[in-house]
Amino acid sequence: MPNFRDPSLSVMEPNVLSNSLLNSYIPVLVMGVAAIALAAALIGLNGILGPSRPNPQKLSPYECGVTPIGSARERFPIKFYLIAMLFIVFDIETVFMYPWAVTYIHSGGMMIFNLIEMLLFVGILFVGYYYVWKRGAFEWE
Amino acid sequence: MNPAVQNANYGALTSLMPLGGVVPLTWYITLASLLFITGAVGVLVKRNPIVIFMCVELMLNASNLALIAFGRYLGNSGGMMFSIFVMAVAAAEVAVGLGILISIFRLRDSISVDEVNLMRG
Amino acid sequence: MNDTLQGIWAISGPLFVAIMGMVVLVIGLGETSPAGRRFLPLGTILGLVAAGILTLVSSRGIPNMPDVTPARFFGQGMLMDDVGGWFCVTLCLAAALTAGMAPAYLEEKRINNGEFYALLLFATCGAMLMALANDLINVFVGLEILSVSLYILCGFSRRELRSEEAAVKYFLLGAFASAFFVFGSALIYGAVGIANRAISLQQENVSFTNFDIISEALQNSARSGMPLMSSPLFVTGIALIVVGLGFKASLVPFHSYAPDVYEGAPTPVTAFMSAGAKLGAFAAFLRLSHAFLASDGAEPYRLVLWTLAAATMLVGNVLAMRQTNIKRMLACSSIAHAGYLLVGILASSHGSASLYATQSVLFYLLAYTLMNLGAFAVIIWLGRNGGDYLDIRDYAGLAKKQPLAALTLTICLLSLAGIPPTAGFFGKLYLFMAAIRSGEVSIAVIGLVISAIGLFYYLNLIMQMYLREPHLEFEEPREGGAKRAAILAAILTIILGVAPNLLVSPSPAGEMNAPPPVPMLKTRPGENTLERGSLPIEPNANR
Repeated sequence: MPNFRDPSLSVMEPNVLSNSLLNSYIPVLVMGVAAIALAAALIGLNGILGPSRPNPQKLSPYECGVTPIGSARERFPIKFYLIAMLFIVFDIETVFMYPWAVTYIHSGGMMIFNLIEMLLFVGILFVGYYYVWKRGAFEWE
Repeated sequence: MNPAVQNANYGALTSLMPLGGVVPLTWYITLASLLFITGAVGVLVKRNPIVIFMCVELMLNASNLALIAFGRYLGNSGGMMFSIFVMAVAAAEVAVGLGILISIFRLRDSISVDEVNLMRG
Repeated sequence: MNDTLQGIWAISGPLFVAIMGMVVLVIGLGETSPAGRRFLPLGTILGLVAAGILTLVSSRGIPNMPDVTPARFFGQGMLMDDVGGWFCVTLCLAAALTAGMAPAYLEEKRINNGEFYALLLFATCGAMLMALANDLINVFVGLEILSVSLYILCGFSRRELRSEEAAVKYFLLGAFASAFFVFGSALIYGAVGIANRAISLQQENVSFTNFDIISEALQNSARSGMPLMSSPLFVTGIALIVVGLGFKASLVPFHSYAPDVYEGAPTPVTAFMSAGAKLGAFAAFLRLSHAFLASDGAEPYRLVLWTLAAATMLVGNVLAMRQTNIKRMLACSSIAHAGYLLVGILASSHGSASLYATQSVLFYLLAYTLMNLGAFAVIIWLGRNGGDYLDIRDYAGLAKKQPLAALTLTICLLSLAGIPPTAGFFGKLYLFMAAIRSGEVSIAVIGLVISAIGLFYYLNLIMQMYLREPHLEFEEPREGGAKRAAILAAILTIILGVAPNLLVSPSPAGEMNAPPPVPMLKTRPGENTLERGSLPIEPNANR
């Protein structure tokens, strides 16, 4: 059995902290405080150090090139759905590679065999990829 | 089972949870059941296929939560493995489901399930 | 490593089907010429035949493992035995018949793409995996491979709104049902794990969703005074799994989608769905009932199964009587047949008649596959450009215009009705005999009465064909592969009806107290399949 020990939890040795339910949330609190502090520091430093020459274009919120304000019920071209679907399908397959990668180092004499297994998995993925490509799903027009 | 081995393998959480440490298992399972019931009720009362499908996803994620909570509690990795499979399958279902919905949308410009009514016999 | 290779050999049937699916998918990309299109169904059929043979070979003898049968593979997650082999071969047959009847129909609708055959093969592979799974995870993966392929196949006729609506309906309800199945599995995982922890068994590297582990935990927990069968988690889990599989097998009250989906889907897809989805679901039911119901304290679950079986038989037949569309009628009749099969599952949960009941379920599934696919193939055979004849009144006088088609359809319908000398008759006989042997006399009587009601609508259609005057000409029937598939199915139905012991060795009806273990399939001389055949009932015998 590989060691799934989560490094972020290793500080919480049972004999030290198990007496209180709230104590175990301290790391979460620290994480939250750090995140807020970092965000505040970045925005604050920007305001202090950066030159300020505003114009309407610059004042509008940045949203990846999309017009930031408009109807919430805007329709997207259907092509986005296709790309999104393909992304989801191929993206989620990586989830199988993580456990494999974690346990690979422990596979001992089976290393080559385990590598072949993963190559077969990726090979099957490539059949799907080849199919989608040849079918023209990646062509925008 | 030897508790020392268990600690060595599973760090703090496994030894804390059954002893009433962090969050008891019951809470996870109650939350998962509530999510599952919410999803099931949503499927039954909603009319928009996409919303219905989101409710199904909620049900699947409730299952994942239950699986992982049980797996952690029991010190067994089977639950995590199962939930990985559930995630992959859910992704495949999303892709196929959206594909079917797009296809029906192309044919009739609306996807409300109330209008899916050619075949009432 | 050697274990893995043996495992790969054991499940080489489904693997071969999956690889064929990928090959067909890629070849189908380039082929647009008529000759190329003819190759796809032909290649599919040949591949399925090869997979069937491969399954037969690999289910009979696993190299280097002569003693350990039925063998478990892939960390106990898969198993290969005669039951699984039978399911796989039946599935290959169903898919091959479908691939045979489809081309002309698809060509007319301009959807004769490689994807159809690839998805058909993937669906077959999924159902085969369900039949060979020994772990809820693998059942789930197989179930989803099957279902997702079927969702797409339902909507394959993408220029027809009807087909798309069927796909949406099937998809939403199917996904809903899968969610029930997963949550049920999660609860069972937890319940079994907690029960094992309570009697301090080993926890690591044990899959609590494995059927062997579950049935072991059931026995151990009963012995230690904390029966798993009364744990709320476990009970809820089983209930949710039954709901999930019940949807796939279209049991009442989860049947409401079936007529609509069967009507809307392209006819070859309907044909495959009626057989393939049921085969997969009942394979899982069979394994589950062996794992769960063989232990003590299963009486309440038998009551649930009893109720489901009675309701499914009754509602299916009553609904079928009211239908005027032949596809809907066959859909409703397939609901009723799911009820008959459930009688067999119920009987197989009793230790006394378990093997006999398992055999009867297997035989009935084969018979059902043949007769149902045969009936659908005749519908495709008679159809022509512009659509199929779907109204039952269209079939008036068919015997005068197309005598061979009428005869083929009649054989299939008689078999569905359970009239000798057809496979359906022996199928029903075995099922009800199994119920009586196991002590479930009431459900057998109910089943007999209800199937007598069912005679009505099958005979009605037969009378239409033979006694009425024709008002349609039935010009230019499609014939082709559909004709061949229909005739083949009808001939096999008759052969199984005349000589059912070709495939199964049924115990004579009189031997109520005879020890049931009879070989599941015809045995090779000198080979002992007794243990392999009887093992699913006692999953721990070889562990």
